[in-house]
Amino acid sequence: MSARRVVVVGASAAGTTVAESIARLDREREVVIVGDGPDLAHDRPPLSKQVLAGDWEPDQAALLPPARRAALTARLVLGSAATGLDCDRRLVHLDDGDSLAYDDLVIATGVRPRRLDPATPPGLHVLRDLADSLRLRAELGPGRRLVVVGGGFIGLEVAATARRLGTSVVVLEPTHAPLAPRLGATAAARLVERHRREGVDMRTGIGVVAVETGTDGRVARVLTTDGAEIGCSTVLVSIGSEPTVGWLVGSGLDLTDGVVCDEFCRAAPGVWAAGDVARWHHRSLGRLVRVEHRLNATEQGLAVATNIVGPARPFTPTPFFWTDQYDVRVQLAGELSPDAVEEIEPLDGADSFLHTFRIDGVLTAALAWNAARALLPLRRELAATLSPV
Amino acid sequence: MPSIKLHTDHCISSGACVLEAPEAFALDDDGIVTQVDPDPPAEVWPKITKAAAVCPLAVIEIESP
Repeated sequence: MSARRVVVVGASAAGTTVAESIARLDREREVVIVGDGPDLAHDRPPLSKQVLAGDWEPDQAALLPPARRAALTARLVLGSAATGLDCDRRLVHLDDGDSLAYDDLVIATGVRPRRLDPATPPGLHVLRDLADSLRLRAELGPGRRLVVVGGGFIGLEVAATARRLGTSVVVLEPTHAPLAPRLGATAAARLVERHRREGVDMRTGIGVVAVETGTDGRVARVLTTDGAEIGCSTVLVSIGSEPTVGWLVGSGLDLTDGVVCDEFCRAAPGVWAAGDVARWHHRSLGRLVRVEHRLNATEQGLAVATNIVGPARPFTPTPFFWTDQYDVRVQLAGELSPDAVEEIEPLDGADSFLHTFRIDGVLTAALAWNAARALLPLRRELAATLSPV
Repeated sequence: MPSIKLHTDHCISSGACVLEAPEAFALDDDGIVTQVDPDPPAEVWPKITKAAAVCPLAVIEIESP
């Protein structure tokens, strides 16, 4: 009898975590990772920061350090895109015509950046993988102007990095308070103010009408909704992402905003999802949730591996994300709600704050601004409710 | 006993290690992981192994003796 096989489609954070975890939990199980790139993906958070700045060479942003990479027992099927899934016969179809049989399948194909339109002239960038980061890096520095379309986490992290490199930076953000729904109004405003102090031209309430190219075919200017024409040779489009589920059309799975799963991260018998692509029923929050943050890829990868080997447990993480911009590390745990009352405590040392958000006195979220250690007891408090053991 | 190596330049202060194994790990003033006890007792090692697994960025490396 051959070993049970887990096929993981997606060779990034969630996928590699599943592979390593299965190996730790059940050495008898065969694991195959299918990735459409030449190798495992690079860790993505450094791509808008250390790698983009040139502080790190790409290998410093490897998902697995050399010893762990060498110890990976999973079989890698690289340069291979999954093109279809047959849930009844438990087969994944690949773009070279081959099919992989599985006992368990983990969908970990992540998300793709949204674009303004399909055209990709030189100078127009998105940021998702290492090649994107290196291409963008080559166009930053003194004498260059970068227009960032979309003032979310990626856009503002790139703005900060670009500014540090001496680039002239304009950020166009359609809402009037960038990141306010994600950080609360106070911390978000403090961050925007920091960008302005660093010399970023932050234009809120402004959208893009068109990105125009010059006679050489390169990006030449951006036209905005308030009638401005911003001359530039480099534009970053950071307007969000879409889950990579096109390959699953026809599989019978519910693909509404990701791969829809139950509380165990299971989409169908023997089919699981982990990471950016997974939309699962979070039992404590009482609804479907899809998380595009780095820690979730690891936590959910671990949970899926544990559930495959069994016994299955509901996945109820305490939401957590961070962003690093300039010398500020902002972290948020829990879930923000417009009903919550915010309290802010300045901590010792300059530029360090702890924000708590409570509804009827109960802690529902906590934000640390350069206060990672102080956040830990609050995260334990949140976990007691959201992630009961 | 195995030893612990910390790749602190990769630490993003998730605190996952501290939440898993507070006997072994803490965050310093800058929010970066440090070892609480340079010579953890035997009963803490399973938690250290779990902490190494939950760290999203493979910061904690356990080196066999």
